[in-house]
Amino acid sequence: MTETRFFFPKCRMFVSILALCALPAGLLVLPSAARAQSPDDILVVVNKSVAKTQSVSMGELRAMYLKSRLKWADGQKVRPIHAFSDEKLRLAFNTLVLRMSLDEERAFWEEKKIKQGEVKPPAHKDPLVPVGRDTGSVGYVYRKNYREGDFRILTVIPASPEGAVSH
Amino acid sequence: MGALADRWTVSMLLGLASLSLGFAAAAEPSAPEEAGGELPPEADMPPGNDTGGGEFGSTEEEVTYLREQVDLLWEEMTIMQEEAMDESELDRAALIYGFFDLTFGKFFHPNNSIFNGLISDKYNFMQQSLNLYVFSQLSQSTSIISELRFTYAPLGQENDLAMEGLEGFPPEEGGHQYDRVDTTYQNLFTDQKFRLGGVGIERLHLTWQPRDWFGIIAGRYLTPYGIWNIDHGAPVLITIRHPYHNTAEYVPLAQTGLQLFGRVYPSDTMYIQYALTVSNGRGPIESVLDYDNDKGLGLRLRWFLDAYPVIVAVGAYGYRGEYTDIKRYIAITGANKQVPIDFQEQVTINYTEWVGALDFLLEFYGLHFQVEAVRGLIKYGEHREKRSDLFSKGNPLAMQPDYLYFDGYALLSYTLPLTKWFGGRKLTPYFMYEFSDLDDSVPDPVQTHIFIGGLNFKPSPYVVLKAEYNYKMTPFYKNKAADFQLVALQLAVSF
Repeated sequence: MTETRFFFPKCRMFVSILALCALPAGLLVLPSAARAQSPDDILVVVNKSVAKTQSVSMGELRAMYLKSRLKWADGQKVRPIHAFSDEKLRLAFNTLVLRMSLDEERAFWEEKKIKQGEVKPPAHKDPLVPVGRDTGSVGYVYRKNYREGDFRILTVIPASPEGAVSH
Repeated sequence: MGALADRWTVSMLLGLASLSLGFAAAAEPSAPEEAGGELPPEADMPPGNDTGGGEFGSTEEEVTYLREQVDLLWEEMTIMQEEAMDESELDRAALIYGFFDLTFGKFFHPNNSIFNGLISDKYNFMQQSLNLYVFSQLSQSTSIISELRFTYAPLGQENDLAMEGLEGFPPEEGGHQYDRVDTTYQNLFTDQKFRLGGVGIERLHLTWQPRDWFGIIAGRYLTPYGIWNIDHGAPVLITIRHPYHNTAEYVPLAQTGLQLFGRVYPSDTMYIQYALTVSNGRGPIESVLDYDNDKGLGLRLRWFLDAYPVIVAVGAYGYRGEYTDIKRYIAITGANKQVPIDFQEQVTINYTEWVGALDFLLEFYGLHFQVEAVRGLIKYGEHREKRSDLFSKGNPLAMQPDYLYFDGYALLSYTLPLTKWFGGRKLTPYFMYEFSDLDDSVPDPVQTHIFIGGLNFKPSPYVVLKAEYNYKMTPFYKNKAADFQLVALQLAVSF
């Protein structure tokens, strides 16, 4: 009991200090949460055939778009779809996920098709169309261009406060 | 029907745009009014062109603009085609692409060289082949790929390259004249002459891959060893000259049979790849028939790390196979049997080979470093082959003993950070050193050192220009009798 009395007041004090610290931290976090809902967020969407339990990291997404990872966990073929009409979106996706410029990506696929017979993923002006239609497909759009359909959001790549996308 | 009509519309637009492009490229700079009259609405005007009259600063700008328009129309047409097709049609669409190269070069060797008369020392344009790929995704897990190699061969092939030619020439003194193949064909009706070529099947297989970690390849496939054999296309390879283990086929470059393969991902940035190969192995006609029951077996393991900006890969391939050559003949067995002839088969050459190959790759920003090493053992059975005249020391009955061979190289290249000057065009100087030991059973080892230096320039993702200098040195031969140099330029194109 003595020990409890000895430590408990200190713990309460410690929790209080934490709570005080958390207040400004929470205020800092709130704008971040607001940023997470920016219309310039990139939503990575998948066809509804992809299991709801499926998740991807940036590395896995990169591997899928570069076709070194060909299957979802349930064995479905991954069908990556690029966005081509929105150059800003495509560049942002390339920079953040593929980590290569459009020229570098073009050179990458020229080499890969000779080495391994793999060709670059198709591009679509509205990626939600093929993503909603084709099983196993994955695409990406800005949040502002998202609409409901036979697809669901797999992951979100948040936009920065300046509007440029970043991690 | 509507989609079809749309496709026709876009095709016509595309044709018109292409025509405009052709005219724009061919014509002298035209009057601003003329240029403006041909342009699309203002909303589609190129950036900076705000005069309202559709003026271009120069013909070059106009051409660039029109090219962009053609690209956009292509994209539009592709989309319409995709939208017009259902999912299964889209999967089954076949893709055709390929590459070719043109090399200009000359060998230099001293007057006392053993290669005099064997290797041409003239300036030559050489066009090796056209490699054409056809790829089709049949279903979610099944695809086919074929890679056909169209060549001018066997035109100019010298069929009797026996080493006797090195001694006792000219022919009237006992030397052998090489038998050169001429494929010239004359049309009986038009009298026109043309030369026939050949087609080789580099690979042709069905791939079934239900999971990343498991797949099966059935057909003729490239042996999954090393780096060079997978890259294998001139637009992808950094150098012009291939390493000796590749040209001498220390490991069979392609095999006919089955391959089990797959990869697992211990982490997001890393995977481990495996392949188990079962095939006819090596043989005189192994792509169509194996003369023994001993199948070639191989195992490939590769660890790959793609942690931007670093790529590291380490791989190994082990192979064991049996080579058997035979001759067949018909024997007359006498009239006492119902069929008085007998078909005989006799093994002429038989050996077992064990080969091990290692490869290493490191990429870091523009730096590229790769190493490959291949070591093999040839162990003969009852039927050895005749020893090469180069090593028989005049004994015509000398037979080839068991032997070990080795080849290894290291290639270092660096893509210069010149984006400020060249944009996306890549300029890559490279250096390569290679060491070969052809046959350790030769009393005085035939060891070769090769030094290569060159420049690789990629003006676009589809075109590569290379300039290269090779120096091959074989210290065993005195007075540099087996040394030579090669200077070569190459244009490699993929499409």
